[in-house]
Amino acid sequence: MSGNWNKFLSVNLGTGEISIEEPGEELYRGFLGGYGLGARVIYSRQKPGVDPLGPDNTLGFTTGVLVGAPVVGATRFTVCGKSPLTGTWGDANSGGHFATALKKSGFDAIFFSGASDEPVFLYIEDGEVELRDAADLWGKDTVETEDALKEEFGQDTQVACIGPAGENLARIAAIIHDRGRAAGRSGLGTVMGSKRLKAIAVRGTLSVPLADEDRAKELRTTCMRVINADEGAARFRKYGTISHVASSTFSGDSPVKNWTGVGLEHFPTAEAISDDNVLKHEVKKYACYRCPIACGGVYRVESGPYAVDHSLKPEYETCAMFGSNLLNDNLESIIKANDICNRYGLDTISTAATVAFAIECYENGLITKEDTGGLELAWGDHAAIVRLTEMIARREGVGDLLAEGSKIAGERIGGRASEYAVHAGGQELAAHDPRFAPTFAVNAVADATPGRHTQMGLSWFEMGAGMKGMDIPDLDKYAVEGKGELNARLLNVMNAVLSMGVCLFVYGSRVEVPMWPEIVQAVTGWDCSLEELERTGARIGAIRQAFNVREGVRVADVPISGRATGHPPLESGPLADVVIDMETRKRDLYKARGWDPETGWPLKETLVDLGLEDVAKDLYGGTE
Amino acid sequence: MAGPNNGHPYGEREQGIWVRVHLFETLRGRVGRAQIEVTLQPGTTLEGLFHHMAAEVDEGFMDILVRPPGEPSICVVILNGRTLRFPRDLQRELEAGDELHLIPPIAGG
Repeated sequence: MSGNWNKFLSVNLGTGEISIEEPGEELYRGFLGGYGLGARVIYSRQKPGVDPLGPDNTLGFTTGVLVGAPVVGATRFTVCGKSPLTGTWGDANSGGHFATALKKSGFDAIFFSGASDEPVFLYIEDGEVELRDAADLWGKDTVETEDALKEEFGQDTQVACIGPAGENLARIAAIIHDRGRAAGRSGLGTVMGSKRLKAIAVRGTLSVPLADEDRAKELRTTCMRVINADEGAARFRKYGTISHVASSTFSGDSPVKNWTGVGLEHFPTAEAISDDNVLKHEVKKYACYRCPIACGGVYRVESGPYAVDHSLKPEYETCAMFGSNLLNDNLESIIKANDICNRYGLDTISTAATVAFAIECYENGLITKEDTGGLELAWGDHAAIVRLTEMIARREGVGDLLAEGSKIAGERIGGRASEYAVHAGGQELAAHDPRFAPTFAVNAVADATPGRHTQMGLSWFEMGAGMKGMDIPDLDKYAVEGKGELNARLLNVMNAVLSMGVCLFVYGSRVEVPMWPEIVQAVTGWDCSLEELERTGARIGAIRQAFNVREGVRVADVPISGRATGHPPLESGPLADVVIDMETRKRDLYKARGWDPETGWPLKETLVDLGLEDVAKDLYGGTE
Repeated sequence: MAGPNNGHPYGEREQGIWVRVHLFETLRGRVGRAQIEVTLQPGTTLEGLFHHMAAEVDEGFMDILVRPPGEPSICVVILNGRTLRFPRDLQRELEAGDELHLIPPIAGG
């Protein structure tokens, strides 16, 4: 098989048993890798109703069909399983060098079941696999863990690990690689902690078999030429995602003051935490494996209370959530908070959102100075923000409760506290305001991973950018009608390309979408078309949704905070009076995907048409 | 005619009106400045401003700001704190002291 090894690892952490499985080409062609292959494998292996933090939850680490091949941006690994934040399908992904190392070690994916009694890590080197004792690593932060494993196995070892937050089952824990690249969302670092799996360390030097290496390299050259000629790519190469912290604050794209404020009015100093001001702290560039854009950076704050050394750049989401959403224009404190989250292994989005929640609770007397151990919480108080972040990371004082995330913390505090938790289905919303691009809200509840912003679909076009090569008409983003078909099509494309292991910042905004089938064909030898990829994306979307249905989730009723949808609307600013009609938009999307417009269940005929007969049987009964 | 920001140090000047334009992303990169002040004839519309900027500031603005008739701008245009809608607002007349934010689509993140 080309493009994949046709090998993945199954590791039972309860028994220590490790097996190598060869699932066959049909699985790869049908689901590609990433969260697609992860969803198919975990759906088949796992019974519904398992405790996300119990031994029966399967945790997948997957690469993708293009990872390890000479393809621009194919650098991402996906972590997936049932989310302890949402109780639904969960996935998260990260760039860096881990995905390539894993693929080049001779495996396409790893699936962990069970839970170990003692801390362990998995070591892989070119086809050899071993579970090892991690007692000496347990308690170390993610940087110390990586350093220790690189010291032991060599500096070319790639590590994905959890920090103390994941060990202590903070529900918003992330998996960290390369000192700060995070598979942050869905609480999957917490799942890793529940299994007492501290790390995966990989050395991989094997060459992934390719169907037509010359053609793949030729297409890579074409992609490089496109990227090098692109004005936006040049700017992205210089700044990365911090390019638009200020502009997103002023346009309304970024949330302000826990989603109640207006950037131009309440956070006019956003330039202090944006583009050139952030770059002042950049020591050198950081690139994921062979990425020609290299949007990352290594950061240092030399002295003062927020001194950090060799920390990765705080990305847009981190700057917005620890910045505009907290009215915090002290950049060094944001770099510090980012470093704390990376070292302890916390998702910066959920952590900062939970800090915002706590400040609003404090402001309204629902959290008191006694609760915080004397710490006064206020908007823009950067010292308090950094301190509270540390308390969450260590589960110290009120941080113990806040480490559960804002939804659970709100329910436990009671009163009006839940109003201040801005989430969808239990996961804190990322820093793209649906009142600016309404499809963010629809996809945050109608796609299978609640609260995610990377399931962009049509919102990419509503933000004015779009995917190159997709013929989508200009639309009034606030018009309700006619969006479902377009959104469904774009979600399908994204499901496919993301499942190949390709970076969001490369696949549609730089490289024309119709090139991807050509690239897949060169790597795998499959006679691939865009129509096939769209159908594959539909299959991936359907099985993730079916996972949730089988779990008993009322998928059409996944809630989203009213603040994000204009209930009540903002009274001033660029997004004044915007109210999003969620029900019509959701129904249109469900219908366009071949799902029941009222219940959100994938229809039986849709599942059968996509080759998911076993799933249709699970949901609707009858024979396969 | 007095604009909403008439007390500011910009506004009506000699024969024309001044407006302040804040630039972001690629626009800022092209011009090399975060904001510019533009003198316009009274009665200039928003579309007129875009043509003026393309002619006087950087011809690249034409690609970004001036779209074929019937097509929306791909920039977010905020006038005195409120988002404009296109093409509806293209013929809106600017007033002395108006403050605009021109925000191109974000590149990622």
